[in-house]
Amino acid sequence: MKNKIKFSLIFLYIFIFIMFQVIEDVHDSFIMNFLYVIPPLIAICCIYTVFKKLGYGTARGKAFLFLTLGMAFWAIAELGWLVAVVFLDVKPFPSFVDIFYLVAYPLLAIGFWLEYRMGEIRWTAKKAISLSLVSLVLIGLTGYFGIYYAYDATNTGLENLVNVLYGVGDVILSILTLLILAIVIEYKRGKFFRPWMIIFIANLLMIIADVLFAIYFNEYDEGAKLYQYMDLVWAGSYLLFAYGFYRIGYVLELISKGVIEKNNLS
Amino acid sequence: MATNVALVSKAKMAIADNFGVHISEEYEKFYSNKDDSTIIASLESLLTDVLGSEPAKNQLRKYKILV
Repeated sequence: MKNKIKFSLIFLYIFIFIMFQVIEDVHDSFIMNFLYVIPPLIAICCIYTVFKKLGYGTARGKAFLFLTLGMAFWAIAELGWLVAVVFLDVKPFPSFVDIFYLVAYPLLAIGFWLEYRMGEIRWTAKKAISLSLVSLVLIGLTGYFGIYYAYDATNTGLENLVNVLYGVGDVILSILTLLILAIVIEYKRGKFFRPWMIIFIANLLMIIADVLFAIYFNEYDEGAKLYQYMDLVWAGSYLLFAYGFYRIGYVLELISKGVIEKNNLS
Repeated sequence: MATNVALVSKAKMAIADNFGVHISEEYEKFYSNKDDSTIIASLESLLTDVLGSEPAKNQLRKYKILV
């Protein structure tokens, strides 16, 4: 499919999704849940394409295998949420769906860690100090709001446990996001800079949405309109993941075309 | 011209690890009739273009192409 058509379809999707978020009163409707699962499915297609290009036997390919698996578990979890709400009519949080969400965190952590190792980063004192400071702030915020603040005595034990586990996952993601930021800084004059910056922002949005969910779980659960907009943050995060991975695939495509052209000329 | 097989093999591994097997095989073909300095310059240019200059040098050191 031509790029213009792909991007037009994505923009059309974003428009429809935002429109439905604003006008739709029933949050648990089929259409809302169906629209919401599209971004993670796009993300998994984009990341899997990159993984296929890299191949499992390569260093970056191994990192992308774990990132693909992590993203796949998130996509399965989002589909599970749709099934739970629309077809089974059960409360999706806490439920079997959370297992898929939570399993994704360590898989993504391994993927980002392997990508960080690929970067062969040489740490300078300035880089270490500045990233440590950012890291302390981010881990402090996710730890406080995602773990400490997420505990609510009025919730059930299971709800609290799952909420706190998400907080732990977000703290891990925060640490790894900073490792990715270190890579982004390292790649600053290369073609990988932009895709990794986009993936970094996608990670931040995911953490922000998760922390907001932990803080405002009751309001979200009761269906208060304002808090339903959190779904837009999650959807935005998935779309940015998709775009970041798509850009990596695009760079690989350019390299491939370039060398094939060179071989044809020589 | 005798191609430096060891150098091509290291370059192929560096490219495969960074950009995938398919691209590394295409580069192996490209390097097959090139001298050492051309191979190193081409690899450095590729890695710099995608990763930036410092990470490119780190990769060249990692695969013992630069010491």
